Amino acid sequence: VRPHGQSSHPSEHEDTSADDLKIVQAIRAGDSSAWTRLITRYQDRLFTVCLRMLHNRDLAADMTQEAFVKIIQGLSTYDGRAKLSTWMIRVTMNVCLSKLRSEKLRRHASLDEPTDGDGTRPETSRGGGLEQVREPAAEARVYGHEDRDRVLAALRGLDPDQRAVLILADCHGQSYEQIAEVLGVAVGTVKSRVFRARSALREAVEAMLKKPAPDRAED
Amino acid sequence: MPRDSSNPPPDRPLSEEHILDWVEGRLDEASQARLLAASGRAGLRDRVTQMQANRRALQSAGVEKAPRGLADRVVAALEREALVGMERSAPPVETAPIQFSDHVRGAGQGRWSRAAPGLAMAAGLTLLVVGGAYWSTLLFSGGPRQAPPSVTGPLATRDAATEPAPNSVPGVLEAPSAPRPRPSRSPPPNL
Repeated sequence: VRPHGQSSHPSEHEDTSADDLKIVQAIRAGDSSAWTRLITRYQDRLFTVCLRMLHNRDLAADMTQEAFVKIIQGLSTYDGRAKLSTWMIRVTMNVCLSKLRSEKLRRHASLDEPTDGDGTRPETSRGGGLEQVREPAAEARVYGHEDRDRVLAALRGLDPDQRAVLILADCHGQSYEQIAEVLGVAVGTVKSRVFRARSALREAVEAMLKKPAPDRAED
Repeated sequence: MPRDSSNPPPDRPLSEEHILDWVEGRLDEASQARLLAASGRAGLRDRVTQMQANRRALQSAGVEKAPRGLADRVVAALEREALVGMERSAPPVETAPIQFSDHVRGAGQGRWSRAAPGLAMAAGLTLLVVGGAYWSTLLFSGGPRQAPPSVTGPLATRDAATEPAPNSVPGVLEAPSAPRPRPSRSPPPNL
């Protein structure tokens, strides 16, 4: 069993601090071509953070752009204590949370809405188009794209703070310490939020499973 | 590999952290059994199993591809911000139009603008003096050069001395101050 905090994504392993440091120094020296290197390096990861938080591709692209502008403009304040990726995710998550709070998008988040726009459409999501037969026992459940889409759809119904910790912990494989650094809260608070978020997500998924299938056929 | 340090001792109560350890695979079978016994809840194992399944689903979601052109959009936004920042940080003397107009006026037009009131007053006085002189000349030069017309004007063209007007009554209609007949208009008597 992989201890929590180790990344499940290859891109995390590719994150070399030396390369990051070179890019940061180049940007600080006024080399605007280093902007593109930084953006190209991190755009998929930051866009995914925004997409999971906002569930709208266009809005996620806008927020990713806004996050990058803040990151590059505020790079002089990066002190190097945290990993650059952690610091960038922190900025991005703050942009998303601010957006959600200002526009109160969570009011519109409904478990009944189709998952179009959140990148989890069956025709675009990975894992093929074969639906998995759901077994009565949870242990026997094999997670295909349908189950993943259901979980991602259920994630939309969570409180943004709970959503944030689950995205950071599970989608991005960050440790509790890293999450605490990203969100600016204590590690104990992170653990408590993660536990409550897992419980809320389980209930949301169960509620979706109890619903009739027609509205899920749109996905 | 489960970590022994995460496994709770038998006498400790069930906590959120222990369940998290279980969900995230850091609890061995014996510790799980102890937790189940301590909780007294029959559905705990199923709930933990569902949480584990949800976690695996989120982990399998992976990284989404950013939209094409996002990097260009970001660079354009950064350049736009940089330009706006330059305008904001520029000293006002470089951007205030009044500074430029002051500079131009000081170079060539200031001298004329300062002398304009004096010149206007001098021109006005000159016009007043010239106008006054002209009208005084007209008024005090002896009146009009031609005599005013009189009722005897047409008769005056005749030579009153040699050619009396027809039907004239001497002493009645004769003009008292008829002008002298002009020699050019009346032929000399001897011719």
